[in-house]
Amino acid sequence: MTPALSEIQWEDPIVPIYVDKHWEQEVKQKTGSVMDVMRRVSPSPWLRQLCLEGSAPRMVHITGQLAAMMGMVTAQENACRYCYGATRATMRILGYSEKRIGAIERDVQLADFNERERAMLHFTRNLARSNPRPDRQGLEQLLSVGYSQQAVAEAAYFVAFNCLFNRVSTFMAVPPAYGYERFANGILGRLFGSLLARKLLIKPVSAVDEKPIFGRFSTIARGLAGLPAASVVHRALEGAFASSVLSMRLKVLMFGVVARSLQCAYCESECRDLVRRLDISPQEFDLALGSLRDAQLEPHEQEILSWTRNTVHYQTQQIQVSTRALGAIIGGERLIEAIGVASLANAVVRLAVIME
Amino acid sequence: MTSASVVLATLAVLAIAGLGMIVLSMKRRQRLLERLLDRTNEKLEQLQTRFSWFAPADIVEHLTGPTGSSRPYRRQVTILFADIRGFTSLCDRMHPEAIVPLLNGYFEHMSSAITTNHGRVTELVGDGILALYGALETNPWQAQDAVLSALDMRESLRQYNAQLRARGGTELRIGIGIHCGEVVAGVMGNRELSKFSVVGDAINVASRVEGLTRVFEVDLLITDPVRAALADGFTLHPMAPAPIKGKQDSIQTYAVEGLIQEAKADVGMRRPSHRPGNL
Repeated sequence: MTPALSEIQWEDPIVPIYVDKHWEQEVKQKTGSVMDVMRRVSPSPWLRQLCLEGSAPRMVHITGQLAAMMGMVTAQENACRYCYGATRATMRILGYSEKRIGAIERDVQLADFNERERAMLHFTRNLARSNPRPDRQGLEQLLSVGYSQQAVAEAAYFVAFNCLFNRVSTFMAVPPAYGYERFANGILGRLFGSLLARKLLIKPVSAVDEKPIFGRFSTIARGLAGLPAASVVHRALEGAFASSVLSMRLKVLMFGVVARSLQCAYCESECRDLVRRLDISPQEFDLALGSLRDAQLEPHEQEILSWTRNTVHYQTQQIQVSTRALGAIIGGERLIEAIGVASLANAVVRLAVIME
Repeated sequence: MTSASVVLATLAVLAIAGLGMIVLSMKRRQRLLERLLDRTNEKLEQLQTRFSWFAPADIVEHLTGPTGSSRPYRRQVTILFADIRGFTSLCDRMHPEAIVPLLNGYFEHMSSAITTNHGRVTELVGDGILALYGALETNPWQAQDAVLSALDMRESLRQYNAQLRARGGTELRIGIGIHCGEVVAGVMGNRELSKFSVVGDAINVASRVEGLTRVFEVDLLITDPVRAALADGFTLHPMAPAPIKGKQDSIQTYAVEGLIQEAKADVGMRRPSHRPGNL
């Protein structure tokens, strides 16, 4: 059952704040403020860049109002107290009444939403939940109410990568933005909200003419051709796999574990291609995925692989407790990287729905 | 001003006042209805949350949706059946007020071992526990999870028995049977009593296998399909094929001693150490 905001159990922060003045300056320049999560991810160059891009997504088809609703539903499904509270507050600033927000949260009384909005909210919930992950039929429902193929791909990207940000915030137990929530729900929010709303609303951009994309999981990125999202996904994947904090073997196995958990045949076959290049035999790969153990991994990496399986479907407090335990074993820098890779794997495997 | 216009003005004022009263009363009524709707929504939400303790979330959503029904589905699951040895005779010997806390403590220890390893306790029948793996969400590691749960249950019971011993109470012994196969899951029952449950031959086999633990005098048995789905890393001992009720052929089972040392080190973080044993 999707939880209400007040029902989410939330631990104390697991990853500390890292001070990096240069990074904070860059974030402030691009977004106007430095969100707490930006400081916590700062030791990982690819992850912090991805979070920065995610804080102001460039969308062609998904309107700002729809994106706000989709963001809140995704955060609610992932029971991320930080993101759910923040997206809910943003909706208040955008002018949504408590009643209307409540209707979206409870997934009831959506009669005053149009057919396209209802279909999109349904798809968002199902993809975020991924139990099971939506299939071709789920995509066709969106196409049947008038969304283009590219709009559906963009929606899948938006939900999948929000799942990533929800996971990053949850696994790090980023403290909820109570100040922002109070502002949005208070008199100040009502007085000055409309001024802020224009800034908060995602503005549509034009389609882009991207260069052909090659590399790991490039078929997925190519499925987003013409959208700014394609390069975001590509850069994130390349950055994560290029990072030397965790071994390539572990990262591929982490993607494999998530792919198997969500029954994504396409992603599992991509992982098989990658392990072949690493001189890992298919038998070794199957054994590792079947047992969640791999004799070639370092002991700390073995811990990360076991933990990865828990990142697909989880109870918030349980995953935070196990992430803290993992951090105590593997250390801060590796923990941030593990959180990033596991979250990215969860996003990419969910996004692979567009390959259906 | 003529008397006619006075009458007209009075009528107009009365009409406006009347309309105003009607509008006010309608508004009041609307506010009441809105409050009622909010309260109903709140109650529905609470009901859904409570309901989700008893059935999977998607089943709850179907049941509380417009059709009010949910379609049963088939799923590949792993079934764990656990039972306390000689519980009936224990009940005869013990004071009723001592039985319930003993049983509750036992259930608490066992449930924790099951849920920690991705299982779900589906039924508590007397002193018996039926737990499922892979019933709520697809779980490629369900066989491993079930066996790890059983090993945790063994360890947990050891700890619980130590507590009981310290209090001068009776120690418990259990038998656990694990089998996997396809089951039908859904909401079953009638208007008086319905519950989310699973049915299928695999459930019966798991229960019979648990019964075999008494025959072989071991605490944990798994079937051949579970062994086939199980990753390496467990010390297993094949038992003699044994007949079970409802099956023409004898069934091959394996006693699980524990994790082999290397695997124990690998999964060390997520679970306590396991000592092979026979409780």
